[in-house]
Amino acid sequence: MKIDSKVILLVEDNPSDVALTQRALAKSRIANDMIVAEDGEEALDYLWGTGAHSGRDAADLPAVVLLDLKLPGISGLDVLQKIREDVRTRRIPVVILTTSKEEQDIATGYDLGVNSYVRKPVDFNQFAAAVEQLGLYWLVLNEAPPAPKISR
Amino acid sequence: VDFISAGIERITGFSAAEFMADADAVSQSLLPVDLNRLRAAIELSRDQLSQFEVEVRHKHRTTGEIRWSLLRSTPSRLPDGATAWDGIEIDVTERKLAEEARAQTNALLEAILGSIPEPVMVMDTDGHMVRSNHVFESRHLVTAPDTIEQYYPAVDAFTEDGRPVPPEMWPLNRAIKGERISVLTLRLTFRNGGPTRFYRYSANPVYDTNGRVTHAVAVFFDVTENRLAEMALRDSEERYRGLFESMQEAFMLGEMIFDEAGKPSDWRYLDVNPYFEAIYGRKREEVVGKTYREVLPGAYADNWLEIAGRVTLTAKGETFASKSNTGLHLEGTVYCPRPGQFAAIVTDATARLEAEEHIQRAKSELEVRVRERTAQLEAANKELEAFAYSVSHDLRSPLRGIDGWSLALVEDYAQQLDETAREYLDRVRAEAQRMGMLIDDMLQLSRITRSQMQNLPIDLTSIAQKVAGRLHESHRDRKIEFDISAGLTGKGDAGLMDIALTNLLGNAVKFTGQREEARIEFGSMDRAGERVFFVRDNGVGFNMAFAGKLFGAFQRLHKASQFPGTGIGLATVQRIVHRHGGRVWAEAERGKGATFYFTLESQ
Repeated sequence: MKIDSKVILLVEDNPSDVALTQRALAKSRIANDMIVAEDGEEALDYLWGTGAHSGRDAADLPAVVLLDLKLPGISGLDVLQKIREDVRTRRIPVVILTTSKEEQDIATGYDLGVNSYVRKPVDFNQFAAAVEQLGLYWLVLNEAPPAPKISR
Repeated sequence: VDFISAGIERITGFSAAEFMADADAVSQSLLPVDLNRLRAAIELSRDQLSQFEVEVRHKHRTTGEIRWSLLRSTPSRLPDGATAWDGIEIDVTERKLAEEARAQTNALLEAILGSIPEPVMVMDTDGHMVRSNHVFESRHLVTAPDTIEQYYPAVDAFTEDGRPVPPEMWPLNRAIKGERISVLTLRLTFRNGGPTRFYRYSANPVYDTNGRVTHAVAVFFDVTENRLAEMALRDSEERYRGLFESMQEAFMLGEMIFDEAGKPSDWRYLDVNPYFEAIYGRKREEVVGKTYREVLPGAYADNWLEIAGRVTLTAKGETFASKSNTGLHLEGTVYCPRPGQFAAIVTDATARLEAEEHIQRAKSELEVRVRERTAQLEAANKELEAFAYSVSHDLRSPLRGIDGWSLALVEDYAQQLDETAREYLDRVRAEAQRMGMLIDDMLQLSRITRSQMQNLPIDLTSIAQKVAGRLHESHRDRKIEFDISAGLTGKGDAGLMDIALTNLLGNAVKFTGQREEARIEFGSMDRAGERVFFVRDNGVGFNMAFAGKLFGAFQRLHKASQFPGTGIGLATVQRIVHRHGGRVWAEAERGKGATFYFTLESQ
């Protein structure tokens, strides 16, 4: 099942986790493309159409960003803050998908305007179920924000 | 009158012839009152024929002088029955006057004695108390004695310095021997228990015309009140002198000197004590009587004169602190004991100030050390937090991989794997998941130690009921009866107590798993005045020999196949109870259930 042409942006540096997420999505038969950014800088470049992704239409935003917190370089929370500070990306749904359940991380995530905070279970079946629910919710149930009108 | 001698003319102014010729002359020469007495005496004498004796007064016919006569006469009966008297008349005027004078003197003496408010006593040579004004007797409730000997057993006398004075040395007994005592003070004590008195005596002998002592007179003044006041004053003076001499504060008394404008310009030292000498290094003789400017010429760096002058003028005491010319830290009080004077009490505060400085220094050193330690501790805590964070994140990720890829193997290569290979992969997954739980429990344990703790009243009954509700929910297939006492309260952190009770009640649920009907009780009891909470179950219990291992992290007393678990639950409970200042312990018997007790100090 492919819902619109919207993509999912997964910000995750661990290739094993990337592959597991892809496997989980495949299992839930969500056929939308998944773009992987291996660190925060790449994620922001993709969203803003800058750096390695210059030329990409920044108005074509992913349906949801799945954001890991522990990233090389810019931390996940910093990425979230930059997304929310930029007028082009501030409305985009962001889900923190991480192994941490530190209270501090959860609180800061919500303070910075994250839409959802999901902890990755160790059990793959549970993980797959979580990814499926996330995909269904953000790609099917959720009404995407209108594209921002940007005057250059 | 048939016959009268010529001497009558000297008394009456009438001649003997006139007397014999004219019977009226007799009545004329006598005072009328005496005439009547004479007549009465004559009548009595005639009737009884007895001698009569009458003293009568004659008034001299020409000079008018009154003279006393004694008439003594004896009657005799004449043959005709008439009565005749013969007798003599003696001029007793001189004796009469002397008698009158003596009576007057006596009256005067009595009046004087009676009006003296202090005891007066007169004693004769036999020791008889011939006169006294009875003040002594009435004052001391002793019966007025006839002789001085009667005082001996009633009174003891002492000199002022306390030596006993025997009776023969008493003032009256000395005066009767001719001694004149102008002033002597004795202390008298009374054997009837009366209060001790002090008397000041004066005693004198009385001489007759031959120079022999006939009497002794003593007057004694009660000086008790004066003496007691003097003694009290002396005591108090001695006390204050002692204080003055030995006090470890310098004392000085000064008299302020004012200039023409009325401003304090100097003072004169009136007195200083030994400690003053010690502090200022100046002898009393070098200072007393001199002025401040004489003693310390030119050295007015301090504001001493200003303070002392102000205190003298306003009479309001002040405190001060200054540094002496000898380098001592001085503190003291200045007050105004009487107009124009001031007194200063000065303490050497050097040692105290140095000790204070020392303490202050030690305190700030300690503070620095505490700050350093705190910083170290904070750094260690940060490190621990970073470690916990990385454990939670980094150690869990690979586990998910192990689990996920094992499952992928099973799913994607089901055909190539036999039953044993699939079972091995299941074991790999189970181990990965168990390690995930271990990590989670360990993180919770570390969070309990690090988290901020609240200290508020908490309702343990309602927390336990919520926990029991959750346990019922997750064990729907089990028959569990929770008996939770009402009104269990304490003080502490509700969130932490929720975790503790979840572990304790959860353990109880777990270890009653083999019972048909689980009974789990949560209540409290009083043990030696201490409120003790307990969780009791009818589960498998445990061997008390291992009770010491119960609360250690990762310690387990049961086989994992029977009762799965990470061995962190009771370690968590212990941390929570310790953070509340309480204790936790357990009692059990194998197969007969277990009871876990805990206290909360802050209840």
